[in-house]
Amino acid sequence: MNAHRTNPPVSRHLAWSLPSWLALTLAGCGNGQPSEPGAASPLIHALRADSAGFLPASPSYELSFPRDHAPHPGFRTEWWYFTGNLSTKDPEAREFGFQLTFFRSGLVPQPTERSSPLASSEAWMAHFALTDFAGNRTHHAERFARGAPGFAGPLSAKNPADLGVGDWQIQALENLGEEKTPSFRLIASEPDFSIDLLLTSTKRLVPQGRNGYSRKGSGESQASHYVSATRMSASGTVGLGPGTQQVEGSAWLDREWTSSLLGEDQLGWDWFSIQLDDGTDLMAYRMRLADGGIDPTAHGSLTRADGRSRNLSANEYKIVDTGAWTSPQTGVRYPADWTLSVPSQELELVLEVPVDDCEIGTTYRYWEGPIRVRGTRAGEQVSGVGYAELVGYGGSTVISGSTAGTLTK
Amino acid sequence: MSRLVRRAGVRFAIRKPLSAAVPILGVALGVAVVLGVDLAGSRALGAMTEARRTLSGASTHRAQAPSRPLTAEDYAKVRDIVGHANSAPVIERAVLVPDPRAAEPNNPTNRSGPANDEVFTLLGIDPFSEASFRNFLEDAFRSGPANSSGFTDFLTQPGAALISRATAERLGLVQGSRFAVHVGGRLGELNVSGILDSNGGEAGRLDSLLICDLATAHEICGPPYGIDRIDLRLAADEQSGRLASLRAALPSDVQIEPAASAARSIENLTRSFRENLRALSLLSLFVGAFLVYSTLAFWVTQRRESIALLRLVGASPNQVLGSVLSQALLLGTIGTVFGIGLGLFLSGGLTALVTRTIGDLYTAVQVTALTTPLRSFLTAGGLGIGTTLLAALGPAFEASRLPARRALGASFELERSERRAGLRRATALALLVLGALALPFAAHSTLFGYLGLFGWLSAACLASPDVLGFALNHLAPLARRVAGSFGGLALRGARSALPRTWVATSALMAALASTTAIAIVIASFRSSVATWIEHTLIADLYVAAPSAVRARAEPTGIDPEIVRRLASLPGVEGLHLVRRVNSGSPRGEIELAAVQLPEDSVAPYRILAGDPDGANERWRSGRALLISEPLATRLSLAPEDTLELSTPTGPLALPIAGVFRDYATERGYAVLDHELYVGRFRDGSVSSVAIDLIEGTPEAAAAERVRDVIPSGQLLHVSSNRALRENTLRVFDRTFEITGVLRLLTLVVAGAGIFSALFGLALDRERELGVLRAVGATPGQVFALVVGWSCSLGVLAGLLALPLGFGLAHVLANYVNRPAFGWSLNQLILPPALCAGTVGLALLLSSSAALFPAWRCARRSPARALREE
Repeated sequence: MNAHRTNPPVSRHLAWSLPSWLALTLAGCGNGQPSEPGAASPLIHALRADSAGFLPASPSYELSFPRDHAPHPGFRTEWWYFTGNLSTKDPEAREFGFQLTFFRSGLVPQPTERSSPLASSEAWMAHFALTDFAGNRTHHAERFARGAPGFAGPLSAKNPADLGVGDWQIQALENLGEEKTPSFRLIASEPDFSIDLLLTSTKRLVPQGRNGYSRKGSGESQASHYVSATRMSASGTVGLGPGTQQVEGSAWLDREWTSSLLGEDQLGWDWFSIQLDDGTDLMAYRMRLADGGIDPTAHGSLTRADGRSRNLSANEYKIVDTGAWTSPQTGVRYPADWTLSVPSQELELVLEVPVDDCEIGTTYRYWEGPIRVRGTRAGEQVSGVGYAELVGYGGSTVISGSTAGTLTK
Repeated sequence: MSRLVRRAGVRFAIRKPLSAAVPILGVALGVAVVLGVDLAGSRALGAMTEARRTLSGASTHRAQAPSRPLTAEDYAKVRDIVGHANSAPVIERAVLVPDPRAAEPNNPTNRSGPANDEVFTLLGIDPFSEASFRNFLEDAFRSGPANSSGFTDFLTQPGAALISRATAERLGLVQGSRFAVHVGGRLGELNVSGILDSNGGEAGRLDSLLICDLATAHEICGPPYGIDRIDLRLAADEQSGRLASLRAALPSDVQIEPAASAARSIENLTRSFRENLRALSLLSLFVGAFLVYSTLAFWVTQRRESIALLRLVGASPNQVLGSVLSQALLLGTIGTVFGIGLGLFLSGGLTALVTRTIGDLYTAVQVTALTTPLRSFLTAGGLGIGTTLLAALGPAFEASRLPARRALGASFELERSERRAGLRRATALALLVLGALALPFAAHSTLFGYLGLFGWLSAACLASPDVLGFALNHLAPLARRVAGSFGGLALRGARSALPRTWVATSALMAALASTTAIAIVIASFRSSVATWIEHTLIADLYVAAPSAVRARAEPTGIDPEIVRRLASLPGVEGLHLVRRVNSGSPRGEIELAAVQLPEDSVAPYRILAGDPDGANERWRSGRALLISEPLATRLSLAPEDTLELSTPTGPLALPIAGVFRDYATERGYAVLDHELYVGRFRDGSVSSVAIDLIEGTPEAAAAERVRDVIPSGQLLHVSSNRALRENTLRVFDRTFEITGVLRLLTLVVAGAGIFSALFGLALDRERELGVLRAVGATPGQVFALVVGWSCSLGVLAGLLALPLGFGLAHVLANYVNRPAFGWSLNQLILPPALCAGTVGLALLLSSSAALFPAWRCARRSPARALREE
């Protein structure tokens, strides 16, 4: 796993620890170019502010919606992570995968009162990617902005769950209450690719871990609040080149907020979301450790067609690499294709990557793309679609210092 | 034979070291002045350009609205069209940093004057948008645990700013230090959250900058909280399309210009100033070239005997020519080397003077890196050596063609001179005509003005032997009657020495005339400005923010609440309100002064063109504009032309009612009614307030009441009419300090010239003086005679310099300054003190130059002098 240490892009390990991407942006690396480790690393070093003063994730936290769709200023970091599989409605059935993610990072726990409307105590990052099956490639873009009216954050004080980073928007439409099935509109547009999608949940929100309290390490505060909308029907338009095309499909939302930064022994993770055609949804990840092992606190969940879900502990499922792909751009080798088995559920799945080139070469280099799933459940044939995220490949290094770490989604 | 020729030259130099030292000194001084001025100018301009480039970063275009800040909506539109990575919002303001060595800023006694406040550019940026444009943050937070929270502080802490290391050292600041800044009267505080090391060859580019977050810039500059401009990065192939989309989406008063035009505008702004500087340094070189010529001519004359001997023993004319030229080259090279050393030394002080003036008048500029571009050295070196060779060419050629026997004769000088007189007079006439022909074109380029100036100056120099000869011939009998036979002898001696001394004398005359001309222009300018101030400053008390840069309107205004309270103070009869802003127009950006005068107050504008009574009435009723003379000159506008201003409420076209005299800015401005302005520009704030006091109200007490109205967070200067006048003239005088220094240098060069010429003259006449001693003249009489020669030439040069200087002043005022700055002067004045000073200076220079040679001649034994004869 540590075979590629020759030219370590330091940022990898810190991928979702937001202050580090802030550092990279400020360092002048946020212009769509992959980071230059040499230039950025001292900045990351310089930016390892601790999370003292921010609210810790707590097992006694009561999830409440719609409140928890909106930003949580007391927490250090949070994200709205939409992924999905789409296809055009015409007979050609052209297929796409998409990702639209907003990250918010609180910079100081108690912001100073300031008179400028542009004064900001938080930073936002957004990633937008569109995988084109026919073109066999992924288009992607990245944005950074201060949290301020007109720049990024809630579009209005009245509807704090409507968010924008520039003109990319996540609008929370309706059914935002506790037991409801939320709907969202996603709008993102770049010069050569765009989406405008309506997402409607067909199941209730799924709290991950224990009532949405998701342990990420041994300490009690090494955790996040984590809920998912595991199955949303998607419809709308995709633009690629001139004009737009009508699409439909399914999507997944991960909503997570936390203040903790994880252990220094974690290298990266492989994360999967799967929607099977029998109505079952599965989330599973493995946290890879520096010593070559797998972190035992990793977990997953299985949500039935009727919306009831159960947690899967790390020892209940097994993920095995069966293939690999080397990026021609960066030379980084990623696993591609896996088997995933959940013996307690009699579930044996083969996960395949239809489009290899889903490397997202933004400030952070990682792999995020659609997967195709087939296999058996209790002997019955099942198939489905999903998304995979592979982080920490291409020469991760362990950063010394207790406050640096990694967060899973 | 060539070895003999060479050795003869070397022997001469060793035997008479002084004769070699004088041309070396002449070349050295000339080179030093040119290099010093060139370096000062290029450093200041380099620093301005570098600072501008740093401010623009990698942007190709910029969007801004001249008369209002851009809104967050404007920014969002721009960003969504060109993309996040290609747009960056910026706030850029000139701010003052009070001298940290002065007392604490809240001390009320400090409010009376600008003291030694330094001008900086406050640059408010959005760190998230900067990646494609500028790399300040990377520079500041490159490394080190000391900066661990640098980014976060920069964004989240009020007052966090980055400064350059040089600025930190100059102001005595370290990481975490707090320091005061003020802009438009608002007093704020910044703290050093990071220190920027200029990386690589761009040292100095950051030294006039204070860099902070947009929000911090808002809080320092106060409301309205907008964006001053948006920097854009547009790829060449998509520029036209993107620009079209931007223009369609943005309000009509938003202008999108190439980033390079901003750099050009700062260059244009200071162009007149820099051209004047360059002309002054050329003047020094002009005088220096005279000096080199006269000293080399003298040097060749001194070597006449040895050259004649060489020719007699068989040296060819070309060998003599080569020898003289190579020795001149050697002298020129040594002089140039000394000159470069001296020039470098001078450049330090000159740079400080130039920088301060530019800071006073135009823009924040800090020159911390004393760069010495190779080009400046090559120019100065080339001028030094080239001028020497050129000056030596004539004398060398003559020496080589010298008939050996005749050269030993004494009357040779005079003959040669007479032969050349025709050519000299013809050249003088040609230059006179050329100068006269160039002047009418001065309106197109000041180059023609300078051409006329130097043409006339050269013509006067070439004509001077005739004038001097005429004068000396006619004065000699007079002198004889007044001062006895030795008086007559002195003048006749001076007359007969003219062929040798006229070059140095006319160099002295040229130096005196040109420096007198500059002094006349400055004195006339000062008197015009004083009259203008008299006319313009009609109120009793003035309240204004200390302006960072005179040439630029600052958006931050006085709080309208303060204005309301001022109006109701006891003893206040009425208020004059002035709002200075920039507005767009089809003719480019125009500065506006929106003015409201008390009802019965007379308008303080002296109308130069247009109906004087009607013009003031028309603009006051909002039906027309007044424009200042520089604006009229710059844009070729005349009364009844129409000027269209772009306003937030659409275009506003107004006729021009008149042109008024004004020296406030070189770019000029237009005056319009304040009420009309408020309606059309939607801006009710005010830049300065002037107060009329009720007759009999004690001024000091009223000023104290006005100060009490100003809240502690505001820094507004309350000045009395008298203090403001004095301060204006003080800035005026400060602006011309550099001119004074250059005048002095020119005079030093001229003094060295006259010294070398007189010294040569005295040496040449040693035998003649020996004869005088032998026939009974006392050493004192010989001493007086030599000083008399010198003084008569000096006084004549001084007297001739006066009318010549006045003529040159006329050319400078009307054909150089008027096209360059756009303002005319009331009239040229010739202060009596200046006349006396010029003649006195000539007398001082010529008499002191004669002292050593006179002393030498006087103590020389007559027997020895006769033996040599």
